[in-house]
Amino acid sequence: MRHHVAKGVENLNDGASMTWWRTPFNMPIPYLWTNLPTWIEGDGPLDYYGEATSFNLGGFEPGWEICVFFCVWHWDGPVSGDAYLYSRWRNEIGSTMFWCRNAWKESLNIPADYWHECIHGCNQGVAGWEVHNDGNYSVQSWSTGAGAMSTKTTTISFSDVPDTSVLSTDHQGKIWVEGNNLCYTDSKGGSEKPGCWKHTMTGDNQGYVGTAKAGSIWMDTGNYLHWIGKNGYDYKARWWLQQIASTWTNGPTGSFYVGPAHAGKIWVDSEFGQTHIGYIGNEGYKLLTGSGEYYWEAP
Amino acid sequence: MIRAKIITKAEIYGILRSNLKREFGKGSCIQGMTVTGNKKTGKIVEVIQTDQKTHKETILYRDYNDKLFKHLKPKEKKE
Repeated sequence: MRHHVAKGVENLNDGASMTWWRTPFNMPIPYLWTNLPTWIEGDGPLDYYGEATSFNLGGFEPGWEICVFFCVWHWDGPVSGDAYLYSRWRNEIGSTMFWCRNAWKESLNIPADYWHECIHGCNQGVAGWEVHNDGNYSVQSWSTGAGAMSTKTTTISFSDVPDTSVLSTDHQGKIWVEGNNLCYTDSKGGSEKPGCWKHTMTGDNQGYVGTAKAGSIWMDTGNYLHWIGKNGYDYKARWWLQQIASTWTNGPTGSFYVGPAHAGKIWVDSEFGQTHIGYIGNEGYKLLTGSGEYYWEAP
Repeated sequence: MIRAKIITKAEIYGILRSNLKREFGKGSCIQGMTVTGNKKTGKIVEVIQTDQKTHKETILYRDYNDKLFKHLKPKEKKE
């Protein structure tokens, strides 16, 4: 078994990239697998960005992703029968945070002279139920049944972890200009952790407009959000991306289209990881933006 | 320039419902695939992705010239 804990990945075949480092929770993931048979044993079809066993989270907000854990199980033939795969994230006291694979059945029928690999990944972020304290967390994997593999543990340390306490649910879904930044409270909540976090978007300065317009928010012809800061300067959001369905779960890959009549409508979104903003672009598609970094490129 | 209009949750659903013909992935945190290689030739001979929910397998690649699959024939694609 091989463990890879990284900030992001790139597909070796077509260059499709996904970054988790400093990005809003669970953003749509591009199709990372292709039918081109480039595969490196122990790595899979991926190049790993920022692979490490320690991560400093200075400047992070709760509601952001940190990294992804890929486990690669490897068998050399001959092996036949059902294997059951396990992989998980554990917290700083050794308890299971969540399973990536929990008794996933892999039916093996590998002749001599062949090898077989299985790869699964799952991401990790900053939240009360995920990384919430400085310390030594870990990823762990093993398999039972045919070609059983003993437990492998890799310690992953996190430092400068931000406070993950939440505001009350009354504050969910608000958007405003604070100082020279665009702020919002997310819609993350539900039974697992009712509440929300405040997020801060910093923009690129586009020039002086005047303090009379301070607090205005709009979208330009290129679909970027703008706002006027307290100082009277126009700030432009650093990224947006049209929503697709994430292929992380093999879902459909279409886009939301509601038509240009709805352009400019904006809300705090409750899809995907619920820590980003949704709005309708000039062409009538649903777009995503938020605090943190753009995610379809290298960190 | 289009002035942003902040809307309510009810309005969001009103806008999106008419186009919500398919269930969008919620950004779950798992993805995976399997691959088989031939040690003698050094080539990948099969790549399979398995749906996380239905466990349905999709063959992304299969080398029908490899001895492991030589007895099989690829499915003909419908035009």
